[in-house]
Amino acid sequence: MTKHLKIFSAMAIVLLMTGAVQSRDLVVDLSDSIVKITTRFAGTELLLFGAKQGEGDIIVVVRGPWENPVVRKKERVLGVWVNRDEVQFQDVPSYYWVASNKPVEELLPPELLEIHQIGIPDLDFVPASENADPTRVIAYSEALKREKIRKDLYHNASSSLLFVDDVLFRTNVKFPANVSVGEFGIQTYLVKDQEIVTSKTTLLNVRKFGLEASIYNFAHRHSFLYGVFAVIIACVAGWAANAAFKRR
Amino acid sequence: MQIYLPIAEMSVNIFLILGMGGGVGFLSGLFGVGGGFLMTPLLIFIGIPPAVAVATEANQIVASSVSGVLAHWRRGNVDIKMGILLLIGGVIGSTFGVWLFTLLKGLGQIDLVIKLSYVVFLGIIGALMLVESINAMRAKKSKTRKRSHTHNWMHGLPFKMRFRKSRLYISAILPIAIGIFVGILSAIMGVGGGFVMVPAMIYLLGMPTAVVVGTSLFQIIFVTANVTILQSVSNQTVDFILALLLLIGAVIGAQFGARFGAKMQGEQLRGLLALIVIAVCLKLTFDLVVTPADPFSFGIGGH
Repeated sequence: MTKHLKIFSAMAIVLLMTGAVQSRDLVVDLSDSIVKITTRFAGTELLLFGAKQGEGDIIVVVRGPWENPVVRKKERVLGVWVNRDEVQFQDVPSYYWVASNKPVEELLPPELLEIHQIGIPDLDFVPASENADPTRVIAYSEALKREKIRKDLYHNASSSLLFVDDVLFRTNVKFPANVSVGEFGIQTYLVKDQEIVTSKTTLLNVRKFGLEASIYNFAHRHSFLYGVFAVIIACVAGWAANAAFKRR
Repeated sequence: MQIYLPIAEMSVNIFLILGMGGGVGFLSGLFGVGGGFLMTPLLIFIGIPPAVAVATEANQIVASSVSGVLAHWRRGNVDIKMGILLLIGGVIGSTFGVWLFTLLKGLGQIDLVIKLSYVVFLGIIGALMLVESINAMRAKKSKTRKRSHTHNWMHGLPFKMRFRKSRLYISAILPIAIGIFVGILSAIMGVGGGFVMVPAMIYLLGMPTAVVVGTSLFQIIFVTANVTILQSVSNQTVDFILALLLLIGAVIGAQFGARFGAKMQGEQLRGLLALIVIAVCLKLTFDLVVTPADPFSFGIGGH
């Protein structure tokens, strides 16, 4: 936390000195543009900070990497719960975080929240097949949102964004341990009088690093060799275990 | 201390995994079973995706079978000829099993099939073992000895072969068929299949008990190695970091289990194992039958 604060104040001073705020309406940056997943990774927190010119409120939306999830509904068949009906969605953000200094419903009218996909209730998921029944799609979308919220992958952090003064703002974005790797987009909106004055897009990468990356890439790119390697390691380990306990 | 598993893509407590390996290893040392049928459900209980649990457990069983077979090998308790026939069946069965696994995964039914297979097989094996150990405890008083191996239709099958070590003259079709069946189970359930193969070898083939365990371990090494490689290729679900952690715990646990088991009576041990098997079976049945809190389940689909 103190490390974040130091970076934040240093960056803020730089921003002010270079006159960045004077020349632009909105400036945003992150304490780190890459989240590294290593062996000890158990989730992380990034500091997002920026400066705005003039009056207004701030909404930050972090979303990414896109995935095509399948949602299945269980039904009871002969006493056992079995997956029956399913809906496939396309281009759903696997992670979604929204932060603002006031609840987003107070800052923007419903039409704009819908258009810009701001806030979990206003997220729309598109089914892969065009002739899917709309009421069914809504029920399955809601189920997917519940699951994402349960896994800490969707989060509504309204009122978590803080203003340091009229110009500087900051917020913390949390990434749980089960976050997907890939590219994330961060949209920051400057909002005034129920309208979006301006917005900025920042990119963020979540990547596996070191041993984690090597193993994952090995397993996916050379899957046959990976399998052979896993078997060899197991044989050696089994032999070593036997040798270690043999003499007792 | 948390560790991030690269293939399961989740963070787990390293001591929990080591402890689970140790606990199941203790039981496998105690009862002389592989322990896959306990470990895979446990991994699923703690939230490891079932597809990863099954494939990773196959990898771990390779190691524990290598470790186990060496001891039997030294005592000359491995019937290689029988093992190779079982193995031919096992490779056919497990290749088909992994294909079936991939197909069911695509249909969204793999979790159900894994759990149902467990319920059915643990139910049958648990009940049989319980009945057998109760009978054995009773029979001990009357001292009547029953011959396990009788002549029936199976001895009319063609392609007869002589198995010197097992002192048998039976059709090659039998061990191959058993191998195929156990291979399918191995791929779908993430087990070695010893708990099905050992009774089949004793009661169906009539093999002497002394060579049964060594021969089944010999076969399990190759079948689980085949499953590990095939699962890596078609599903990329083998997490060898997880397998290695489980293994470390299991090896140590098995040593304690074996020593503790030497102090207990055979019938009591089998009765106890039967109760554990039935308990796991009931827990899985309960999960399948009870109304879920949320009837929806989720997967990542392709295009």
